Amino acid sequence: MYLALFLAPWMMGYALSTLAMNHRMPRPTAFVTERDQPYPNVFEPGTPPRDIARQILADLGLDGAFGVQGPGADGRLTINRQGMLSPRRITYTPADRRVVVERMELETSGFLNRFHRRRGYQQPYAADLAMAVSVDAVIVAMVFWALSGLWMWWEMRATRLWGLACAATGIGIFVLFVVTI
Amino acid sequence: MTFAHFVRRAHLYTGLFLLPWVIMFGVSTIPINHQSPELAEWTRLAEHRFDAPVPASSENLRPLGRDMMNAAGIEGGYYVYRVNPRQVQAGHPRFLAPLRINYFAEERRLVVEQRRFSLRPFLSAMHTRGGYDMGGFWDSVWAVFVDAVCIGLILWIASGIYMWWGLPSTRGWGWIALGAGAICFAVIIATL
Repeated sequence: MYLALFLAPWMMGYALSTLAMNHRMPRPTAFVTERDQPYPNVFEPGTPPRDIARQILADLGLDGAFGVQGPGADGRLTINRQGMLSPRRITYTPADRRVVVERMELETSGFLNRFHRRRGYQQPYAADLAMAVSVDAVIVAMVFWALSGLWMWWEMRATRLWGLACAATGIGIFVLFVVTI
Repeated sequence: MTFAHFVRRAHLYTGLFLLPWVIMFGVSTIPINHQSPELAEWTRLAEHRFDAPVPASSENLRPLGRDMMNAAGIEGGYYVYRVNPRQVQAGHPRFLAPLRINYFAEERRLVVEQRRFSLRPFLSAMHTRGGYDMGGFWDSVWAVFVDAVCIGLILWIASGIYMWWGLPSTRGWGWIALGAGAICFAVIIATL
């Protein structure tokens, strides 16, 4: 019970985001320009794009999980700073030494989608690590709730018959789906 | 039957009915949260001559996907996407042995492949399958169960809080658990 109360926000988030994804709720991707400024730093030729992106983000005070596209033919790099509430797109153009920072407006379906898809231990940032650990906690909790639920049901003799009917029906339908579709 | 009794029974029986999905969504998150470079193995089943124009990037690919499915002799739901301007892939999701059809437009060639069973892709595919836009009846039935699990989760949270509130001796620790969870969640979301 206490574990369920602690993880209630995550479970609510996963339930709502799965509903949004299952119904393909549209995800607007409109960006608004936040900053358009000179960026005087110069990088040695051959510097890996991820290193350049990391430095630019640090210089802009936007350190955190990111992906990077490019460089294009003109050397342009597009950095996608994976913010949960307001993701940002940073475009660095070395030819004119400028960076443009654009922010995605917060809207519900996009936020739910980002929340649902945020996982893994690939990013070296504390918040991402905390999120990945919380996802593992949800995994353990879901299996634990299923098993402890079975045990608590079995302890209540009055519910055994209907409980057995519900469990057997659910398991039967699930196995049928897995084997046939 | 009192309301509290009804809530307890509904919590129990819906939980037992949806138990396999709860375990599946939990276990299938493991390969997603702990990714591995392991690639799925595909076995070539057939190759066909096929010639159809590839729609422009802004156009709907589903009619082409339906033609590819028909040419491959596969019925049911499918997804379709553009691999590159000269290659389109349609996929027919099946839990144990999904199929994919690659159309190589320049070579006018259609290649049908089946994925060999492997635990990680099997679990990941179970986790990610959903939606009502695949065009297959059973895909929509599966999507209904995905919705049912989501609604079940929301109802279990609501009924769980109701049942917790009915146990006055647990309120103190319950508030601490609920508050700590909400704070941790808010901090993680705000800093990500």
